[in-house]
Amino acid sequence: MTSIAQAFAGKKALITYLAAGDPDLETTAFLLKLLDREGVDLLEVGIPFSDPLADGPVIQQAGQRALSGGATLKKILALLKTLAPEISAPRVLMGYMNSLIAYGLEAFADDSAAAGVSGVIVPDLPFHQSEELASLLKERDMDFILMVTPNTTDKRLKAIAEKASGFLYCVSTLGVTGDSANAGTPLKEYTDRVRSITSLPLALGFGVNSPEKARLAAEAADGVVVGSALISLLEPCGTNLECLEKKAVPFLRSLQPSLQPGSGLVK
Amino acid sequence: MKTSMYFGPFGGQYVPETLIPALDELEEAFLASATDSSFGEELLTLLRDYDGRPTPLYFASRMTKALGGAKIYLKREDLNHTGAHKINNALGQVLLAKRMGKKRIIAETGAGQHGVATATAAALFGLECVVYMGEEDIRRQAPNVDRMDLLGAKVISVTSGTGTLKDAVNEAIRDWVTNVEDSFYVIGSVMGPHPYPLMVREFQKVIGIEARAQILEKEGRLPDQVIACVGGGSNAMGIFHAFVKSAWRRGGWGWRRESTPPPSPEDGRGCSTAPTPTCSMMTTDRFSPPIPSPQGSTIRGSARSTATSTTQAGPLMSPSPTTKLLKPSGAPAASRGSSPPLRAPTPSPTSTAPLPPCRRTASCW
Ligand SMILES: Cc1ncc(COP(=O)(O)O)c(C=O)c1O
Repeated sequence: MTSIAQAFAGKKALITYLAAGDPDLETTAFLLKLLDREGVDLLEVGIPFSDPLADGPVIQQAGQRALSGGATLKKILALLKTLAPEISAPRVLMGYMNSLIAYGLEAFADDSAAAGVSGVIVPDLPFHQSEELASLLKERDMDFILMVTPNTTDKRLKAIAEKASGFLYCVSTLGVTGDSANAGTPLKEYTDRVRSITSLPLALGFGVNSPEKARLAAEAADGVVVGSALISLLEPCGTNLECLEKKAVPFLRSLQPSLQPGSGLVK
Repeated sequence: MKTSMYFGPFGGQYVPETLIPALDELEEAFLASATDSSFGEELLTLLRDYDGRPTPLYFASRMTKALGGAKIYLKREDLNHTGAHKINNALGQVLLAKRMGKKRIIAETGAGQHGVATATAAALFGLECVVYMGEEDIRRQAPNVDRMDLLGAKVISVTSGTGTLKDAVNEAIRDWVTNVEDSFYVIGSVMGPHPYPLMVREFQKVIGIEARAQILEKEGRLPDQVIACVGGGSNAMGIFHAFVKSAWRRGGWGWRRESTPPPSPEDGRGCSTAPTPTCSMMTTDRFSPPIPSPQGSTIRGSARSTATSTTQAGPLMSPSPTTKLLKPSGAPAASRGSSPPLRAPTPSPTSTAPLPPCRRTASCW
């Protein structure tokens, strides 16, 4: 079983997103270890980028802080390599295609594998253009995680599911990260449609900002992604580790019960 | 996708998945419009009776004399309604939006010309219009902001990123992702995800079609050079397109880029459309040249006026491996009397360098 499959095995997965290097890489290292210790099942590590089209203001600003703090993909990969022995939750890199092209796709795949990265998500790389990256990742036993949205047609969903591995990232709304408005389609109806097409685990993300939202998402999917809400919560702490810990721990613990069987429908 | 998304190794669709159904729908509607004579007739009528086409080809006798070289003709796109070529494309796209049943028009604008053109076309068809504009550009281009306002458009100030055109594009796309079902995004240049570069060129090619017929009538021959300014490349592609085939017949053609201040990665500012032969892409298509930044993040352009401060030129404007690149004259514009003719390419060392990471692969990007 791959490390990502394990993250979804027998329970609803709690997945967090942080922009690497926000506000500096030492803080990111501290937070990743903390999240792992607190039982987060999968860690999404964002590569900061100047033009993040799929992101709302919170993650845009986190990316800006990280870029101003000097974060680069090279440094992020080096950090992940150092942290690999200390963290058990699988790490998944999430970044835009420009950053990957600038790094070089093959070098990116090599260095990610060497850094112990389990999978990659590229929100602005639709699957019909992903052949090269997908095969580079596959050759190195990393998962290529694709996104689907409420307006993805069944035909396209089938094609995406065939290419994807690890899990399918189900974007909960028509919108950008941090949007808490709903898609109009009930979550359960949406994930049922996706499930009728694929047996991959499904993670719901975009706009999950409270235990209640997490519960609803966990009822419908196999995992829940929390990004903007966590970043907004931690932002005022800057690099104050004590403050970060004080804010992060209760928040994560408030989410955990929403993911337990019995809090809603059991998988 | 029913048509090729690529121009050489450039182009494609680098956008969130949410937009794919909208781009498919748009491509289908655009291709259908291309063979629908009622669409063509309606657009032609608008271009003639509303916009004022054809625009004249004017012999600039004093400029010709002052520069002492080639005979210079000006294709007067400034005489279009709203004052620029932008309306050719805005009318085409808004007409398409109307026929697709869209209720709401989104646009980005830099200097405000495209915003004014789109606001005008939306008002003409009675559609709601929202224009994204960088906060810095809003300050620099207040009269155009007032015009859009008068036309009933809502101008939204963009403060994210650098607060300029590229950020306005990003915000417009974020709006579109969120309101994809009832909104139509009118992109103002030959940029963005397929089918925009192709579609915008098709709506702008009227410039070259007219200019070609006009120069043949006036001079009985084709020009030695066609010169255009490039922000994203829509007026350039609009005029070049009709001349490219004839240029091939006459022994080939090529690009020569004349750039405003050269890119300077050191101080973090680069000229928007500088001849950097590095392959990269903005987030919506893959095109060259980028403003150099080793991390792949974009940095702001240095162009002093807003109109040319797109981050990169569109994919049609990018030097593909088969494009001949002519040496920039290097001379200041006013004394450029004897620039090399179009069919005598002298490749410059930088512009013929290979385009490293940009291979055309099986998946075609
Ligand atoms: C009058 C005018 N010309 C040229 C441009 C540059 O755009 P493009 O290269 O797409 O023609 C602009 C852009 O705003 C413009 O307003």
